[in-house]
Amino acid sequence: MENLITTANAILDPAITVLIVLVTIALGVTAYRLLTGPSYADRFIAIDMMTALAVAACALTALATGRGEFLDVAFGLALIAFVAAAAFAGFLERKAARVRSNGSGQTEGASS
Amino acid sequence: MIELIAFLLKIGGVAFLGVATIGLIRLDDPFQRMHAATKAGTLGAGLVLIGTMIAKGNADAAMTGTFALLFLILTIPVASHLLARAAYISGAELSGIGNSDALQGRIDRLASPLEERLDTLAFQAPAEVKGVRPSAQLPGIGEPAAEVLDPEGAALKPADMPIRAERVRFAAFGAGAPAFAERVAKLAVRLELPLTAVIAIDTRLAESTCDTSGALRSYRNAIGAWLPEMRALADKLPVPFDLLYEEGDAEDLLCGTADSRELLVLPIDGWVDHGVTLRTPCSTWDPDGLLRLADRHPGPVLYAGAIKPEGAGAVLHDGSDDVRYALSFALENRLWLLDELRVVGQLDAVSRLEIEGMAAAADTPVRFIDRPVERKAHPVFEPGEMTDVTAVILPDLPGPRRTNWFGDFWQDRVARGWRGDVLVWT
Repeated sequence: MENLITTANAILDPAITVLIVLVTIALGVTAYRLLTGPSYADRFIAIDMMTALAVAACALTALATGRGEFLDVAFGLALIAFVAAAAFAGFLERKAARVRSNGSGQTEGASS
Repeated sequence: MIELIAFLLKIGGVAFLGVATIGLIRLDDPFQRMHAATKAGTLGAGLVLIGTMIAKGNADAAMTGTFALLFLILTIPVASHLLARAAYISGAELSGIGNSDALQGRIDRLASPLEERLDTLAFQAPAEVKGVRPSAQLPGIGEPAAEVLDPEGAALKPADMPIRAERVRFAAFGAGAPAFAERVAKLAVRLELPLTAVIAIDTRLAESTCDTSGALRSYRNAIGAWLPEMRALADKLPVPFDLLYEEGDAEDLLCGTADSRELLVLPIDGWVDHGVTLRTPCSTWDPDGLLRLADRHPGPVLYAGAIKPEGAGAVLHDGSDDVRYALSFALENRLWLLDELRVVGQLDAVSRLEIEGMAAAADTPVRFIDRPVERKAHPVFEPGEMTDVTAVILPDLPGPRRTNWFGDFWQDRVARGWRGDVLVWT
């Protein structure tokens, strides 16, 4: 039994690194969406997704390095992500409202 | 055993994150991408967090991890709801649902994506806010102009009748102004149109420097150096020539009454600082609003850069009304003496017939270059299309709206190394 656990540990430790690399690749792919858009909404969604990925990466790093502080970082990121998403949404709505008030009569929907 | 469970949880979490990322890249519209990112993304991050907590196995990690998890689960639905609502309102693309948009009529939504509209709307804002005159709306794309007739009947429809220019208005900037005035005067004499020169001083620009009265004084001095030359030119012209000197909002002054029958002629560089370089503490940019004037003026705007009016003309035809109006305006008024007209773009037979008819009336041979037109591509024209070209007509100026963008002159975005006349109608 003792033996089995040692073998398992020997396999699992490097596996964490592999998982971190996978998450990092996902971060890169998400960054591609962030850069190419095409719409503002796409970019904001990509930022949202990046925070989720960063939370996961932080948790995995906490394991790989054995330092519990990375979990606090993950917690902080989760907190900030919400504020950021809400701010982006507000920005987008304001911008749309301004465009609409300038170009009246060109909307479809309840008021037109 | 516990380690194995923790590890499986982590693998599952990373797998979900991977699926979410693939969805983010491959799905078609922002809402589908959001669906992938938020659902699978939250599940993935949550599973990884649980796996980490189990593997760590101490109270400290469990505490922070649980809080992070709780917070993710609480906030992500709210955040994605906000984002989705904002995306819907801003007119983000909805693909694959046909006409079954359940929110239609319940939430106001822009009819086309926000990004496409921001470019075209800049010019409508000032005219409508100040209620200048309805003719400012005239080139509204695809909108019937019938309701916006004002009492004088100024809202003519360029699509239906030949557009005759009635006045030429031009901006005089800096020391090059007399030479430029002569170039514009030749055009005005050839077209037999009255000419207005605007010498503007931007008081807001002066106010944004540290020393307002000093800035105004140096602008006036700079203008005083070449003003007599302009007066001399005014006296010998056979057409009426008004010289306006104004201080105020430069963009308003240069555009005048926002009349689409007035041809606004601008130099290809320079601005109302008249060559006087004064630093403004609020900005690291040189003051520069030249290319924004095209959006502000609701009719034809000519950026005059070519030395002589003969040569070939190139048109980037994306099928929009703007470029149709500009083309018919240029041909109807004989703005240039073209020996060939090259029309670049994919056109249907009707548009081709229309262009051929207009060109025949202006004695100009036409050549069509059939290729897809990319609105945002830089440079706009391919090198082979630009030999001997003296003038181009564009649906829109190539962005960003700066004459010098990190050392890149704006006409290089039309065609690399090319200088000449650019006509736009906005």
